[in-house]
Amino acid sequence: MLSRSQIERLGTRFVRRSPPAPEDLAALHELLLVYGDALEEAVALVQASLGITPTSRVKTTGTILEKLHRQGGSWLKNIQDIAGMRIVGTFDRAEQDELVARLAHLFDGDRRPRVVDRRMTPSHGYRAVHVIVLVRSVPVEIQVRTQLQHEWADLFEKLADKIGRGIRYGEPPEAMPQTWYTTLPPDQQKMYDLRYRIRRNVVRIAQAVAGMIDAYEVGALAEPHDPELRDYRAEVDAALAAFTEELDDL
Amino acid sequence: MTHYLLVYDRDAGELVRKQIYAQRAEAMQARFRAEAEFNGRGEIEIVALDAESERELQRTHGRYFLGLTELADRITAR
Repeated sequence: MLSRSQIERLGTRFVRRSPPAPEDLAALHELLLVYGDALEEAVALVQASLGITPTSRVKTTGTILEKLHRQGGSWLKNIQDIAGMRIVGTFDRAEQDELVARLAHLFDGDRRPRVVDRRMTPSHGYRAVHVIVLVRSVPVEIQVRTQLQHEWADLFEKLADKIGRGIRYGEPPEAMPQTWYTTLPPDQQKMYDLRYRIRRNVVRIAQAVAGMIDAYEVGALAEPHDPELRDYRAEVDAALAAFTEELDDL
Repeated sequence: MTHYLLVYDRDAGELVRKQIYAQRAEAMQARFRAEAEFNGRGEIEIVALDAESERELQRTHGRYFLGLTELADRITAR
C-alpha cells in the first residue's frame, strides 16, 4: 500500500498532468484494489452481523479525477469515500438513527467511526447519514438513506448528468461558452437564455422538494402551518410561477 | 453477491453496457479495461458494483437504469 505522502504526490500529479500518465493510473488502480478488499470485508461484516446486504462500489476513476481537479491533489490522501456502501431502507428517521448507531458500534475500534449527519447539514439538498469506519486503516463510507432521501438523491444526480454536475456542489447549471453564445443569432440566443433560466428553476424546485421531504420526514406535515414547511412551499410556488412567466414570454 | 460492471453515458442518460461477473476481482479488472477503452470520453462513467441482486442494484442505483421522469415518478407516486 502506498504511504500517505506517496498518495498525496500521486494526487498532485493527476492535477498537473492531463491526461494522466499510464504509470499513475496503474498506481491508482493498485490503491483502488486495496480499498476494494477493505470494502468487501466491511460488507461481509454488515451482512453477517446485521443481516443487511448493502450495495457497494469503489469510486469511479472519472469521479476521483474530477474531484481532484475540483479540490486539489492533496485531497487524494484524505478522501473518505473511495470505498463506499449504500443502505436504503424503508425506515423512518428514528430507525435510521438506530441503524447508524448499530453500524457505529459494529465498527468501533481503536478509532471510533465518524458519523456525518447530512440531514442536519444538507449538501445542496442532499440528505442522508454517512458513517465512516476504518477497516485495516482504510476508510469505508456507509451511506444510510431513507427511501425518500435516496430517491431524491438519485433524481438530483440524474438531473446533474443532464444539466451540469456542478449543481451537486451548489454551482449553477453548465452554460454554453461565451465565445459560442455570441455567434448565435438573436432569436437563438433568446431561446438559449430561456432554456438556461428553466434549468436554474428546475434546480431551485428540486432543492425545495428536498426541503419538503425533510419536513415530511421530521413530521412537520402534521403541522401544515409549520413555518419551515410554509417557506419550502412558497419556494416551490415561486419557482413554478417563474416557469409560467418564462413560458408566457415564449 | 453479484458483481456488475456498468458503462453509463451521462449525456444520453443511458446504460451502454452491463456485464456480470462471479468474482469482484474480475469485475474490477474489467472496469480498468473499460476505462482504457473509453479513455478520454468524459461523458462515460464506468463503475463496478456489488449487489445482492439486479433488482436491488436498480433500487439503490436507479440513476443508471431509469430516466429523469421515472425517477421523479418514484417520489411523486407516494
